[in-house]
Amino acid sequence: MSQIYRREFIKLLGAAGIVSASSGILLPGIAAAKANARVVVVGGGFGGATCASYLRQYAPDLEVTLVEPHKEFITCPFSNTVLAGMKSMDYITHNYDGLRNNRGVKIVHDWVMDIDTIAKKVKLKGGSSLPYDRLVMSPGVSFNWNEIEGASEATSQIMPHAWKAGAQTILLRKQLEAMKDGGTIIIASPRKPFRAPPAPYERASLIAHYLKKSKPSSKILVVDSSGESEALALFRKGWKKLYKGMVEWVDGSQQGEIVSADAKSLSLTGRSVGTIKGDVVNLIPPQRAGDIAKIAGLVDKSGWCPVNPLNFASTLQKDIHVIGDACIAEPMEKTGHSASSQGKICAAAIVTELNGGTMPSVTYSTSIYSFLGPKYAVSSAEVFRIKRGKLVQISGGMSLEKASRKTRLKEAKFATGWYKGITTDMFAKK
Amino acid sequence: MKRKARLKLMMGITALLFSTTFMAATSIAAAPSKIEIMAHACLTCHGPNGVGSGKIPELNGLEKSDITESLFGFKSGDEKSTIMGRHAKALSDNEIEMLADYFASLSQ
Ligand SMILES: Cc1cc2nc3c(=O)[nH]c(=O)nc-3n(C[C@H](O)[C@H](O)[C@H](O)COP(=O)(O)OP(=O)(O)OC[C@H]3O[C@@H](n4cnc5c(N)ncnc54)[C@H](O)[C@@H]3O)c2cc1C
Ligand code: HEC
Repeated sequence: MSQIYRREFIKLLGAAGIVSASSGILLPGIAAAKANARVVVVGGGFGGATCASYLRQYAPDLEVTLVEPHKEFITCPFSNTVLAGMKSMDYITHNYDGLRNNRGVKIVHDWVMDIDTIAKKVKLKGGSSLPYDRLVMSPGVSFNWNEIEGASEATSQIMPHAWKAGAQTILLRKQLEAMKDGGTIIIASPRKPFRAPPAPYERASLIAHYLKKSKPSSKILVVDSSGESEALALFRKGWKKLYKGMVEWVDGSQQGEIVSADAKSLSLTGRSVGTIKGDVVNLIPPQRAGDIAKIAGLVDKSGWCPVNPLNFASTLQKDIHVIGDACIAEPMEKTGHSASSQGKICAAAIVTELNGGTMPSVTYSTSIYSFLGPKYAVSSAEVFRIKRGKLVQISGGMSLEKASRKTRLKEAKFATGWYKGITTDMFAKK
Repeated sequence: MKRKARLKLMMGITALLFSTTFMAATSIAAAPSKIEIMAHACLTCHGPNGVGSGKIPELNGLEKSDITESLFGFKSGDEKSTIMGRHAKALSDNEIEMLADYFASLSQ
């Protein structure tokens, strides 16, 4: 009797345009597995939140669980405007209600402690575990404190990095407020690759904006391990125009990296810069993929996660995808916009693969708006495609060096639009 | 097997097969097309459904010809822009046409 039903079943599948009848015979079991596929997404930031949202949008019958320890997500983008007193912490704080209510994503607020890649289970700090058919990892970055003698998570309470937004942002803001006029602020930025390469320059600019009004004899020293770039040239031009003499840039790229720090005397030592002392020290350490990626066996010698850019599948572990800052997607820079682009493409690839299709050739994109002042912003924008298995830049670059005041003002307005757009999109807000 | 039990089993199988077929069909229907995936990249700035965000213009509500005119203009550089030129230069003419169709259909 069941033969009849199977025949009906194949006919139905055929009618839906799914498979040729010849392979249809295998389908009942597989189809069921696909429809009920469980995808677990680790990390509710730019990559993870976006991916979870689009997975549910593309395949409403997928079971998607997002694991994120924090009930509220505080964005790094626009956190420099909080340091400058332009925006409040509230402005950069978001919740998961939209993903839960408008997309039906299951939200679990917990830490992932381990991943059993054989049994395909994610182990949570709370003790339970979540089985997965596909796992998406977007854990962001961890810090290489061991590369700077005398620096640690503990000393970041005195010399904040503020490279993860939240308590660190508030701490750095308080230190800036408490500093006397005439003080020196050191911003020490690491070598690439790190999260948001132009953001140290934006930070220097917006702190200068704050100081210019309230503490005009103060100075900002940027010790920059990335060296010269097209972006830097644009910033220097802006600093000259807006904050003449306030921002000093020091090339730390030629063996100038900060090698030790002393929290007691608020000083940093680099090979070429010697020992420098600040009144406020913003020490941004070198970075690697978020620690859970290493625990799961997803990182290579570089400390980051190698992936196939077609679907962001790990090249080291089966059925695990890595997106966002943690993955190696050069020449795409590590930005929230890149993470969002990767999250959408990863979601599309997972749904396409579960349905037995192949991913079409699409564009990958990123943009990063940077404020030099409330009415002055510049941007970088790049678009990529896959060529011979690798991501290649097709177009883009920085805003024009020669541009009017009006253009910079326009970009400042568009920057705020970008922020509203990307946060509405990633958190599925109405 | 007793008749009644057998009937029950058959009904069970029917329901099962029907539900899996339905589910498989819906998830197939949901597999996104090339142009959907590419259009979703635009929403990061232009807002969900292209309704605009802050000062970034709305795409929802534009006619197809408005969109192609702007995008071809951005691509060639004839139409001045702060950032769209850098994005549009990466698109093929065919992709521009298809993106314009996609966004024009949102406002219908
Ligand atoms: C000052 C500053 C300014 C920036 N400005 C911009 C900008 O203007 N535009 C832009 O595009 N980008 C900007 N960025 C970069 C942007 O913040 C990052 O590139 C982006 O956050 C990367 O997304 P992600 O998903 O990889 O990581 P995140 O967004 O950091 O998300 C990672 C999430 O994973 C969670 N997580 C980590 N470990 C675990 C675990 N074990 N279990 C469960 N959850 C875990 C974390 O809690 C976190 O919520 C800026 C960054 C900084 C520091
Ligand atoms: C980084 C943010 C960003 C992204 C990504 C982006 N846009 Fe735009 N778009 C803008 C801005 C800003 C403008 C205003 C023109 C300018 O200054 O660049 C604009 C203008 C436009 C216009 C002109 C609207 C009008 O009223 O004439 C169209 C059409 C458009 N974009 C389409 C797209 C499409 C299609 C995509 C995706 C392929 C896209 N945009 C991606 C920011 C963006």
